[in-house]
Amino acid sequence: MSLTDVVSAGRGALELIVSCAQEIFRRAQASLEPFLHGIPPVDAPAPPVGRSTSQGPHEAVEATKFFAGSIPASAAPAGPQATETASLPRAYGMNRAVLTARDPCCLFVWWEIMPVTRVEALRSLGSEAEHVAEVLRLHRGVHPNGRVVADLPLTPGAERWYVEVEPDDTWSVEVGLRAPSGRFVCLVRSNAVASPPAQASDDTSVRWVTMGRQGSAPASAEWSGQWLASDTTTFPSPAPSGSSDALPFR
Amino acid sequence: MIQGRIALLLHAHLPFVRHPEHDDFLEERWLFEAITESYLPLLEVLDGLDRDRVPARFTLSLSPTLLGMLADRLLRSRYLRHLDHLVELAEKEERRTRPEPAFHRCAEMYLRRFTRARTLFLDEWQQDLAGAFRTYQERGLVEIITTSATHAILPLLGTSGALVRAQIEVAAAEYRRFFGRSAEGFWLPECAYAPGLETELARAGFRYFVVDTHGLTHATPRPVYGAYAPIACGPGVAAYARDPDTSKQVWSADEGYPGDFWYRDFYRDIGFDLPEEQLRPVLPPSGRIHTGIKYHRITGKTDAKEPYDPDRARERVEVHAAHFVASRRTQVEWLARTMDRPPVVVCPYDAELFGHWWFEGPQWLDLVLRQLAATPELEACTLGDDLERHPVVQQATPAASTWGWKGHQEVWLASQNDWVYPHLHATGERLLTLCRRYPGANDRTRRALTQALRELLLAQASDWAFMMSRETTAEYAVRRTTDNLLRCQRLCDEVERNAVDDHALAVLEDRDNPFPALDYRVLL
Repeated sequence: MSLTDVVSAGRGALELIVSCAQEIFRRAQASLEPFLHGIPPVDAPAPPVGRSTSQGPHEAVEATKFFAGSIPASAAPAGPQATETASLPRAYGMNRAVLTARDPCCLFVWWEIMPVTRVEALRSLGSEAEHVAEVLRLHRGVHPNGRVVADLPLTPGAERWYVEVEPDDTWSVEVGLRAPSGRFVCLVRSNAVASPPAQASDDTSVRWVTMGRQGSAPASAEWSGQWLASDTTTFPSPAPSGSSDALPFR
Repeated sequence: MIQGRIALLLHAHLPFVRHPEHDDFLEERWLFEAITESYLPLLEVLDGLDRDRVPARFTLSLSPTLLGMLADRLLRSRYLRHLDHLVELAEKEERRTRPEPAFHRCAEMYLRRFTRARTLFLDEWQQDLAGAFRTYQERGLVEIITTSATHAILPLLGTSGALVRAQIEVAAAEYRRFFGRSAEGFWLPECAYAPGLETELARAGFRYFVVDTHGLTHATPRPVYGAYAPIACGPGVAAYARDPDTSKQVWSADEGYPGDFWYRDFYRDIGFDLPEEQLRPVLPPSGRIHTGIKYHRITGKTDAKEPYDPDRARERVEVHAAHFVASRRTQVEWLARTMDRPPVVVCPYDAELFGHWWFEGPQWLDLVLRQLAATPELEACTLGDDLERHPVVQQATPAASTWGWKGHQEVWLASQNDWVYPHLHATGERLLTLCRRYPGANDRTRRALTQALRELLLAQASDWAFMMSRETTAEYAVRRTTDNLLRCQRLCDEVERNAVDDHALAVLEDRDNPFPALDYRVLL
C-alpha cells in the first residue's frame, strides 16, 4: 500500500467518523428539539388519564368555603408588587424523577432531564441513536432488583405521566431511550413507591400493644374476641321520626 | 352503662389569605364569612353548653393558618369593617322588606345575627377568637388539635422527609404558641395518609390521627374491629377511622340532612338578586358577591325557591338531631354485639359545613350534643378521651388513603393541578440544600431563609390544588402557588449570591407573615 493509499484510507476513515459524529449530533439535536425550544408551558395539559372530572359530596361542601362571588380581574386594584411578574422556570437544571402513588391503580411521575444527559445517552447508543424512542420503563419492585413490567412510549416533550399499575405492590420507573434492538439507556431513575391496597388484608394476625405517653409496649392480654365482619361499614338505620315527605330526610 | 362512644370532630381551616397590598380583597371574605357564619355560631353553641353544664365533649381541629389569620390585627380590623357593612345592609333590608312579611322576618333574623356577631367578636371575645376556643378547651368542652402548617397534603410533598417534618413541627410549635401546651392529636389534611407518616407524627409528640374508613379496613394486618376502634401504627401513635354512615348523613346534600327542603338555600343570595345600588357598601366596586343574606329555602330540585321559614327549619333540625342520636344508639348496639370494647364512632366534618354551608348546622350540633349527654348508652368524647380509657390497641399499619373523591389523591393530583408538583418538589429540595449549607447563618441570611421557608409552606397548601380542579377559583390558586414559589426561589437566589435585598425582604415579611416564630432550622 502506497503512502497515498494510506492517506486516502485515513482521510476516508476520518470523513466517516466526522460524518457519523455529524449525524449523531443532528439526531441528537432533533431528539432534543422539544426540550431545547419547545418545552411545554408549566400549565400544559398532561396525558389524558390524569384528568379528574368529578367530585364527591365532600368536595362540593369544601368548594363552598371558597365561594364568595366574582369580581372581574381588572377590577382588583393593584397595589405595589401585588403579584410576581416573572414566570416559574421551565427547568431546574437537574436530573430528577419523583414517583407518587395516586391511587391503588395509578402512579404519577414527573421528571427533568438535563440536555447534556440526553446528548451523552445518544452518543452512547452510537448508530442505534437514529431510531431510539423515549420510554417510561416500569419496574415491579425496586431497581435493580425489580422486574421490568413494561416500556411505555412517551409523547415527545412529556415531563410527567400517569402509569396504570396493580394495587398493593412496590413500583419504580426509569425514563430512558430504547433502541430497536432493545438496548435501553436510562436517563433518570425514580424513587420506589407502594400502590395502596384495594381490599382488606389477608394477614389476620393479631397483636396488641398498650399505648402510653412514652410510646407503646406489647400487651400481654390474650384476645379471644370476635372479628367484626370485614364489610361492616353500614348498619340498619332507623327511619327518622316525623319524616312525612317523599325523600328519606325531607 | 356506656355501650359506645361518639367522637364528633370539627376541622376548621382556611388557607392564608391576607392581602395588605389591597384595601378590599375578595378572597379575604372567605375568612369573614366563616367567622360570621361558622366560628362565632360554634362559639355560641359552646357557650350554651357551658352555661347549661351539659357534659359535652368533641374534638376541634384549628389549622395554623386559620389561627394566624384570627390573630392578625389587619384582618381583625377588616373583619370589623366587613361586619359594620353587613349590619348596615341588614338594617336597610329590614326597612325594605317590611311590606313582605315572609322576607321581613328573615331580614330581622339577619339583623339580629350580625348585630350579635359584632357583640360577640368585639365585646365578649375582644376580637380574640383563638383565645375564645382556648377558653372552652380549658373548661373541658373541646379538645383542640392541629393539622399541617399550611394544610399541605403530606404524601404529596415529595421524597424528602425534612419537608414533611417541617409542616408537622411548625404546626406543633404554632399550637404551643396559641394554647400553651402540646397538641395530642393531628388532623391529616384531607385525611391523606401514607405509611411512614406515623413515625414523623410520633417524633413530634402526637398521639393520634384520623384516616378515612378504608385506611383502617384495608390496614395490615386486618383490624379485628374494622373502623370502630383505633389501631397502633407507630411508636405511641394511634389511627382512628371515619365512620361512613355518619359521614353520609351530614356531608351529603342528596342523601343527608343538609338537603332538607325546609333548610335555607345556600346559593340564592340577595347579592345576586338586588340592584347593585341597594347592596352598598357590602358589594365591591365591581362585580357581584354573596352577602350572606339569603331569604329562600331549598324548596326542592327547582329554581323556584320559596321563602325561608326559620320555625319550620328548626322543627327539621330537631327531627334530624333526634334521628342522628337514635341511629348512633342502634349502630352502637349492633356493633357491641361483636366487640368486646365500646365501639368508637368517629364523625369528622369540616367546621365550615356548620353554619356556612348548612345554615342550621350549629343548631343541629347543639341539639345532638345535648341529646347525647342525655343518652346513658352513648358518650360524646374526644379521641384523646377514648385512647386514655382504652389504651390496649391492636397493632397494624393503615392503608394509604384520603377522604376525597374515590378515596385517594385524585382531587389534588390530576391534569388540572399536577404541574405544581415538579416546582414544589424542586424548590423544596433547593431550599433544603441551602439551609444545610448555612446551619448557623447570620441575621440577614437567617431571615431570608426563614422567609423562603414561609413562602414554600404557603405554596404547599392543599387548597390551591383543590381550587385548580374547580373553575371558579382556579385563577387565584394558580397565582398564589406561583407567587409564593417565585418569592421562595428569589430569596434562594439572593442567599446563594450573598445579595439579600433588605427592603424586599422586609416587604415580604410584612405581607406573608404567618408563623412569626418560624426558624429555617426546622429543616435541619
